[in-house]
This record gives sequence, C-alpha cells and structure tokens, in this order.
Amino acid sequence: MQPGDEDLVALARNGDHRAFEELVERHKQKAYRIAFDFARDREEAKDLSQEAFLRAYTHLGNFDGRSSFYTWFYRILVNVCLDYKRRKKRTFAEEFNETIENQVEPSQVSQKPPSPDQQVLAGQLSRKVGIALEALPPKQRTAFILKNNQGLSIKEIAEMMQTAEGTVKVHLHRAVTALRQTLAEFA
Amino acid sequence: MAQHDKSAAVACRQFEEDLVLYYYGELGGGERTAVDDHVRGCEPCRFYLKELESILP
Repeated sequence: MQPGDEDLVALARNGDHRAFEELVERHKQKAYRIAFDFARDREEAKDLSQEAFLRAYTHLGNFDGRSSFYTWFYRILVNVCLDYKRRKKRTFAEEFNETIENQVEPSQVSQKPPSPDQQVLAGQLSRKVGIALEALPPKQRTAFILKNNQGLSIKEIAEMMQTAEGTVKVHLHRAVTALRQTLAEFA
Repeated sequence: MAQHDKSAAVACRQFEEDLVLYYYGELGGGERTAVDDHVRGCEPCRFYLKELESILP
C-alpha cells in the first residue's frame, strides 16, 4: 500500500529526500497547471511550481497537519503565483503578446487535433479569457482559477485563500459576472 | 422577473450568485432544489445557466 502524503511529509521531515521527491511527483502536474493559469507562460509556470515546492520543502516544519498536505502546498503555490503577479511590472498586454501566440495549453496536449474552425474559435476564446482574467482583481482571479480551472471546492479554496467560504462565493460570482460580460459574444 | 439583455443573459438578481454555485455543483440539498424549481419556471435563469456552459472554459 502506498504511503499517504502525510506519511511522506513525516519521512521528509526526518531527512528522507526521496519521500519529498515522491510528493513532488504526485503533485507537480497540478501545480504546473495552476501556475500556468496565473502566468500563462510555460517556462514561468515551471519556475513558479518549482519555487513552490522548494518553499514547501524549506517550510515543512510549519506543516501542522490541520489541513491536508495538498491544501497546505497549494496555498503556498497560490501565494507564490500571486507574488509573481505583483512583482511583474509589465502590463498584461505586453506579456500576453509575447507568450500566447504560439502557445499550446496543457489541457490541449494529447487530445485529438481540433478542426481549423475550432482552432480559430478556441484561440479567440482563449485570448478573451486571458484578457478578461487578467483584468480581474487578484482575489477574484484566484477564486475563479481554483474553481473553474482546477475544480477545487469552495471549502478548499477558502482554506487556501485563508478566508471565509462566503467570501470565496462572492469573489467567484463577481469573477464570473465580469468574465461573462466579456465572453458572452462567444456563446 | 428579469428581462433578457442583448449582450448577455440576465438572471433574476436574487438567484444569480446561486446559479453560479449551482453551475459549479456547489449547492446541496434544499438550496439545489430551490434553484431547480426556480429555473424550471424562469426562462432568463435557464438562459443564464446555458450561457455559463457555453462561455466558461
């Protein structure tokens, strides 16, 4: 039987590097996808997820087991992503132009190739989503990404954002309202 | 009851937040039933839900 995340954390805290490597293996894909949702750039997403794992490793002593390792780690990851957004001085328009043009999103990898029409529409929608997401206030964007793109529950998002579930619901609703105004023309 | 808008569906104000949570499967029990009942008889809210399905990635 495979050890649980918390067992691996206990081993890692006692100096078992392989135990932490196993944790990284288990969560790196999801971590990358979350980071990509924030950064919308493959290399940046890779760097951000690695930074989050490094931060988790160096702060393993702070993990008190009140939440799952998953929740604890993703809170770190989201904070790393938010820090990244704050650090970034350039406007979204500039970064968008540099990163989106030839980009294939992770969710599209290994799927049946879309038709040319579908590609055009998906590309337009993706750009619209990117622009609309970027225009959202950080907390609304975070709530939306974690719910819509990552499928986390309101409860999990509230834990990660260290806020009340009701507040997450408000952020999500406002995010969806703003996004649908922008995206309605694609319906 | 709310009227349709040309650019985006307009749901009943008191149900709008619940419709978003409903869409994401975050309503349980009585809340979900209440939205189900409302949506059955409210075309703008049905349209709003359909729109969410169409535009959210």
